[in-house]
Amino acid sequence: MITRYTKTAMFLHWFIAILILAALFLGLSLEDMALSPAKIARINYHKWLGISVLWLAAVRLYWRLTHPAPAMPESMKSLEKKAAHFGHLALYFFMFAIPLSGWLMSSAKGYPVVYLGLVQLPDLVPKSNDLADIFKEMHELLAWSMVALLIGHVLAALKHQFIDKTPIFARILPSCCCKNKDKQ
Amino acid sequence: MRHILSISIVASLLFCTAQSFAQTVVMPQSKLGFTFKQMNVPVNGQFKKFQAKIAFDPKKLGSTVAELTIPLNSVDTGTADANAMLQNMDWFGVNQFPNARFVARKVSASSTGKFLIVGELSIKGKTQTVQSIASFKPSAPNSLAGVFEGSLTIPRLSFDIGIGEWKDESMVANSVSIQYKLQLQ
Repeated sequence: MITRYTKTAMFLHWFIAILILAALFLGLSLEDMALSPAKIARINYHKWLGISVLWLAAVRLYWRLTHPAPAMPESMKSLEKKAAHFGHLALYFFMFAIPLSGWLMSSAKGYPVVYLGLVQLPDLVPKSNDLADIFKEMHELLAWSMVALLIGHVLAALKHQFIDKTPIFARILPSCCCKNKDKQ
Repeated sequence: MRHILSISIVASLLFCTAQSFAQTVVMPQSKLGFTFKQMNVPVNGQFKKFQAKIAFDPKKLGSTVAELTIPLNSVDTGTADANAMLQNMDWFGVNQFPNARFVARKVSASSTGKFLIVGELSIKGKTQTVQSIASFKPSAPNSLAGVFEGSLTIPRLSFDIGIGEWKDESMVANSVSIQYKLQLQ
């Protein structure tokens, strides 16, 4: 019986989480910024973070499909389990959809993505202001939907851990972080 | 006397026309674009307006006339805030320097059937000698109508384009590539 995620899955979970949060805050900070070298640098860092999330999400999806996740706690109701599955599926969807919509937006704006300043990614659509506006809306809508879901994800985890007293943190944290919980 | 005067005016008009307007530039099919790199990201733009006086005959290169005047406020990068910013004194300073101007001084044929153009480019009160390689595709054999196109690379900082906080070449590369396509008729 598997009770914990693999070390690789744990690493991908937390590393991608950090990248997503960094991309999110960088993205939000661009909103009211006047055009300046600092803004251009931030836009590029935001794109690099997003493309990193995209390819890491592909690695993560492959890993998830080839390495079964630990079963959900018995204490969870069947509806809760369904909601959790759906939520996780949606988070995977966002890990692909948000970077892709950003990439589409970059292409439409006529500013191709040059990953880490080194590799120019192909443009997905030709330059078009109309398309750029659509993809920008899409990118923002998807990002805010993910934020709502992430809040749900964290609240649900906290509820299981502290209200239901089900030690789920141990599933996704390296053993060094939760020694006492590990003994259960 | 009146006759002679009017004849000479007509003659000089004809002469001028022959000299400066041997070809007209058909605007919708003509384009003046540029590419530069911003944190290694290639960004394209164009000047939506420009006037060109062209007299070009591959058999009489010595009498070539090529003069371009480019209203810099017609710059378009596809992004409104970038277009607005380029009008500022840190970039083109269009209030003080509304036009860029190019005048060809010498045109010679290269071995590959192309043409080497040496001329003077003035932007923002600075004039530099620049070189460009161009090609001409006549619309019919021996026709003076056709497509005249080429490119050149200029160092933006030699013209004080993008100064102040934009001076850093690792942010906006110094080298700017210009591409032109003139539909001559």
